[in-house]
Amino acid sequence: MSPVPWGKSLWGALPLLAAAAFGAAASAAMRQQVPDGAELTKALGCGACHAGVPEGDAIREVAPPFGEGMAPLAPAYIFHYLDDPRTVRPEIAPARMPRYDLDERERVALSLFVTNERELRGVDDAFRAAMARHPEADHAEGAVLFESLSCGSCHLHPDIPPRTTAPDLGATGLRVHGAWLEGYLAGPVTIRPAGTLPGRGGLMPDFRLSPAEITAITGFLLTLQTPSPGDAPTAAAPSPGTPAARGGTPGTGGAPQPATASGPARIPPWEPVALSPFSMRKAETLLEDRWSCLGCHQLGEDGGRIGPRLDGIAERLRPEYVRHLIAHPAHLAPGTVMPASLEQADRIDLIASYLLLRDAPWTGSERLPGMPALPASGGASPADRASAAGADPAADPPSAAAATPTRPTPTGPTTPPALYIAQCASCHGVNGEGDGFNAPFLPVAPTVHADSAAMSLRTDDTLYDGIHGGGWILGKSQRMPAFGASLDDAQKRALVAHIRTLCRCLGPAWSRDGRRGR
Amino acid sequence: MSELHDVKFSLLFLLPLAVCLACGDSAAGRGAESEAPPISADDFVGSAACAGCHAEQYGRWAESTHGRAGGEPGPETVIAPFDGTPIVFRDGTVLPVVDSAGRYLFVVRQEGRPERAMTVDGVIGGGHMLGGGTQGFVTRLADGTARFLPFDYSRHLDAWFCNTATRADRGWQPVTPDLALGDCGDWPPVRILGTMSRFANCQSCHGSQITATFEPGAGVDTRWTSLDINCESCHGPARRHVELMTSPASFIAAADPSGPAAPPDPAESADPADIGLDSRVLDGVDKSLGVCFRCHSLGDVIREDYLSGAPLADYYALLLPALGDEPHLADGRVATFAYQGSHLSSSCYVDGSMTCVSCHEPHGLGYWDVNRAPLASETDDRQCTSCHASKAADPEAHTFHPAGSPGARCVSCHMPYLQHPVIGDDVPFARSDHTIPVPRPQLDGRLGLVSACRGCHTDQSELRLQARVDEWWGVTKPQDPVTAGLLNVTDGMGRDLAARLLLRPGEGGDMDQARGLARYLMGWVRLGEGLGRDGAERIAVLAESEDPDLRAMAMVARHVAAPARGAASAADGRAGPDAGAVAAAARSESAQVRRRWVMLLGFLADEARARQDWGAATELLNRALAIAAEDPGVLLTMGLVRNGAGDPEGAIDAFTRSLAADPDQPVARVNLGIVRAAAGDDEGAAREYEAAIALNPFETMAYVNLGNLHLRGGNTAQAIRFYEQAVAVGPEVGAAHRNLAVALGRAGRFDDAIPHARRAVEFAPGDAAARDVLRQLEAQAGGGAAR
Repeated sequence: MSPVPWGKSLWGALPLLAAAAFGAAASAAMRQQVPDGAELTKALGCGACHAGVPEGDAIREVAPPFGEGMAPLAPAYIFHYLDDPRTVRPEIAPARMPRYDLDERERVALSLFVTNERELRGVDDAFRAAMARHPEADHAEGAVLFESLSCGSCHLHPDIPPRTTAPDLGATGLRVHGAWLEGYLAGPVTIRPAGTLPGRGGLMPDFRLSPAEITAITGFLLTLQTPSPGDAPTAAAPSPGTPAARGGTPGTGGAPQPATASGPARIPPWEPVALSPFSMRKAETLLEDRWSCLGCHQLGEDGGRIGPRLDGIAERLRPEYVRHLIAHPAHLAPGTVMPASLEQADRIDLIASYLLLRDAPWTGSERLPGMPALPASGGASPADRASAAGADPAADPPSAAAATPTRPTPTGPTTPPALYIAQCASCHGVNGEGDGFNAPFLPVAPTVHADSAAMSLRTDDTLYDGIHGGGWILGKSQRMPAFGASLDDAQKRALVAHIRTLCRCLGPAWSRDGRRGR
Repeated sequence: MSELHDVKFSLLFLLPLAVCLACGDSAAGRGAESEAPPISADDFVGSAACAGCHAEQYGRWAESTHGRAGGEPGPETVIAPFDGTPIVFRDGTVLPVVDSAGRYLFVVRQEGRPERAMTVDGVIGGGHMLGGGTQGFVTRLADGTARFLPFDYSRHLDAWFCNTATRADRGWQPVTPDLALGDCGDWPPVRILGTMSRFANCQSCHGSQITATFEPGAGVDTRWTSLDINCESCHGPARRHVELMTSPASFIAAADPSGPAAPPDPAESADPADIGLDSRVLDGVDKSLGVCFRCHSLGDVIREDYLSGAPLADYYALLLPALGDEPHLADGRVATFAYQGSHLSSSCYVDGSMTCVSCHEPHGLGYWDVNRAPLASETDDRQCTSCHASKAADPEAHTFHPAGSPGARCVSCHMPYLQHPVIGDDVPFARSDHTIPVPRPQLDGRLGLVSACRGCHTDQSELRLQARVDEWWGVTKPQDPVTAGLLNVTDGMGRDLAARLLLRPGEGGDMDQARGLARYLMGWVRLGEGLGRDGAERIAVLAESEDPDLRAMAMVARHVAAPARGAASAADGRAGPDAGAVAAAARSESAQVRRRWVMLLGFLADEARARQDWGAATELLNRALAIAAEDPGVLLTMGLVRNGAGDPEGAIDAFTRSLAADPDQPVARVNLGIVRAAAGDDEGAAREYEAAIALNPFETMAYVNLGNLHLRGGNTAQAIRFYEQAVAVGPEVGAAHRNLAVALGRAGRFDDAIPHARRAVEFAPGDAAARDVLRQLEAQAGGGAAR
């Protein structure tokens, strides 16, 4: 991955020490204006990471691309800059480089990567000491961080395409409470421990917005009530046997209408039902013994780290959104890996009400170390990696000859490895070793799909049924979700086939039907 | 004649033993097993109390087969024709009628006997079941029992039938002019509502909260809430729930702040989520199954008078029926008569999480899928494909039958209706196979079953059907290891090999393990002979099972095989703990396991007694006493064994100790009296019989044996009076009729004697002495007439 001279540096050698005064002046000037939320969102480049808002071209015009724009800088400069970037380049205001909450090792690794580690020019004592403390932090680790933090969404890179790894903001007005959003923008914390695409990283940085900016952006975002159509990777025809295919819709109770070309999404009104203490216990029992929610979400001290934690979601999310997201996640959160519940409306009402009524404050999550789940090499092909990241695998891969990378087409993964990585790898590991980043947070270790001896005892149909109906129906961990309403038949069969490649085995001979098997 | 019969009578009247080991009126039957609070009949409120708050569930239940399972006789409950159309037997006619007062009656007319009208006090069943729905009737007798009448009705046949088990032994037979009333096992009525182990075929599931409790000095106190299957049958006692929910302090009241404030209610719980009821929604898989299997499974009675809500394992052992009667085939399917407990052998349970309510909606008893989406019927494939989605994507690729055809339905091949073998083929009583097997036409035929394939393709041989199965599906899914072992094991096989075949801890479900262990225990475990290497290793693992049935069976295998206390080693030379050491280990076992342990040793002792192996029986009972010292049931059995062994002193000692442990045992009194009488102590014997009658005025055997004393003493008139009392309280007891016939014959009243002799033969067809009495009486009467 060598830097390619594909554009003139927009950054150049900025005078580091002079920046502080300019930055302060720019901020003062901004506070005197009444910002326009839409314009501000565009200028800040929200659309570089988020779908549903104007795309991030504006920020890419001011953010130096990877390559010549960065390489001339000294690693030590980047090291300090990443810790506190606010003093740099006031002239691009209201755009700005936000602050990521990176630890010292991450800053060392990223510094070495973006400067291409040609030579350690201008190394100061602090950087030297940091490198000594983290000798293992290297260029490769920095590359992974660059990708997982979606740096390339603003700082275009020839090999690492921009990614819309952050949540779709197109339905913000349907989703969150304004008060919460203002607080979040004032001090972003991690919501999804391993990123919106599980294990793929991503981090909402702190733009250090002024109160006026927060008000403006919040006001604008709350007007957005249309999830991006076509983003759902699993918006496929339901397979036979799924509720949708048989005319019934699980969890119906006024199903939300997904956004279409002719109009925005609509969520039927819904309020939490009053729950007795017993009903609360019933919900807790379902969450503990039957439902898979805690496979991905943390509740209290228990649960996985794939999705947002569920404590205090009433503070963050609108009740009708919570209710209908459980039943129809792909309609409201296109691209989510969250499967649609197969349960009936009354139980979805119960669980949604429980989560909303449960007395717990909202908090963020701790960002998981060691992300992303994707290996730097091996395991998945470049096309699959691109696919898992949201790129169209059918398109030509980015090449040195390519012009400025364009915003990726937000289609879901379709090739088996990419599908596996998107849906399974968080727990089962990219290579099926049962070592996904979420595995330590599960009470039952995920199946090791690479275990040839064990997997050769399981039939293809059992694997399919487990994907469809979840772990509970197989007498295994109920925290393995049911993807029955979210993946179509072809996708389930593709996953089974991929698991067979991971274990390099076949199912038992008796499970291969006679005539069909020939 | 009289001398010979006098001796025989005494021996014949020794009562069976295994029955008593499970008796609730023994001391061992008392005391709570678990820490759960005791439940009494007063804790139940009846379904009507639920209707107000749970109207939707109540409405569905009321229309369900549970809600319409029986009740008081009336137009709503009775489906059988009570229109006076006679039910014609070979030796009598029965008229089902409704009298002017609205009472439902069976009027029994038999030549030479007075007409007898039997009131229907309860209706059992509504003929709802798809594979053969029936309806039965109970009547209350003077002894306090409610007994089943022999006149059952089949909705599918639109005909009356009776159960000939214990008599003609031809299963269930439609009533025809070729069938005698006495061919019916329930004529005169024997089976009772409720669970009392001395009465055969106890029935406690054909109604709600049925209890039959022996009341010393009075008889039997039979109670029930209703004869449908009510809300509390599954949910447990609801009185506290009603009190809590209607308490001013309840969360229901709290939801209405406008309501009046009230002081805390004494029923209020410290736990705000406590609803005063054991909610089913919180059940895990096995607890959920236990709610249904309390009735829908075979089970050995551990304690009597179970009331819903009590811990099931304290009262029933669901896996122990595998020992003895072998009600299931090698693969768990029904071999005799069983219910849906065979589900425990299904892969859906063993390898999955399937419970009854995975398919059966529990209130209306309709059908739904695993995600509770309603389904139209019991044949809807989504019962299966909501889990087995892989089969739904391309059904014909799996079924090889045209989509929509009966052969393409999941249940057609995997849950065929099987007629329960012990019933015979004359009255439909088929139940869906809940082992959910893979069709194996050849094996099915070998096991005597009609395979699912042959159920439709009646023109094809099993061989041909098997060939088609092989062609379509290739290699058939292997049986679980225990089933495979049971199919391959043979009598006389070496002990180690049998152990390897039958004992497969960790492979398959507990019910499979129980079948294998039961077969091993009965076939290869010998008293004091050790287990051998393979057996010992595998039994040791099974003895660590969490299931109390399996654990107890394994413990008993180890205990039986252990050398006697102080013996150098087992017969196979392998060192191991002696019986005393094994028994000492019981102290660390739960009460549930210990109770099963003792019961199993008693069962094995009974088997030995049947073989007249008195030494083995005595040793097994002594080992049981090492677990449960002075257990009245074990001692009662010991008395029978010692008497059989020609040791009256030992028998008297055992019966006396049994009565010391539990004085309220009329049966033990009778047996003690019999042994005293045999030893020449007529006075002592009479005291015991009278004591038995004081305990139970309906104790038939006490009257019979008092009659025997007087007959032997030459007081025929007094003997006749006691025998007449005996047939009055126990009209179904053939021996009472026989002895009355003997006494009447001695008195020269041949015309009075012969009907009783005939009834003796009728009610005890295996009693050679009764036939002899009848023959002699008829000869005497014929001679008299000739004179």
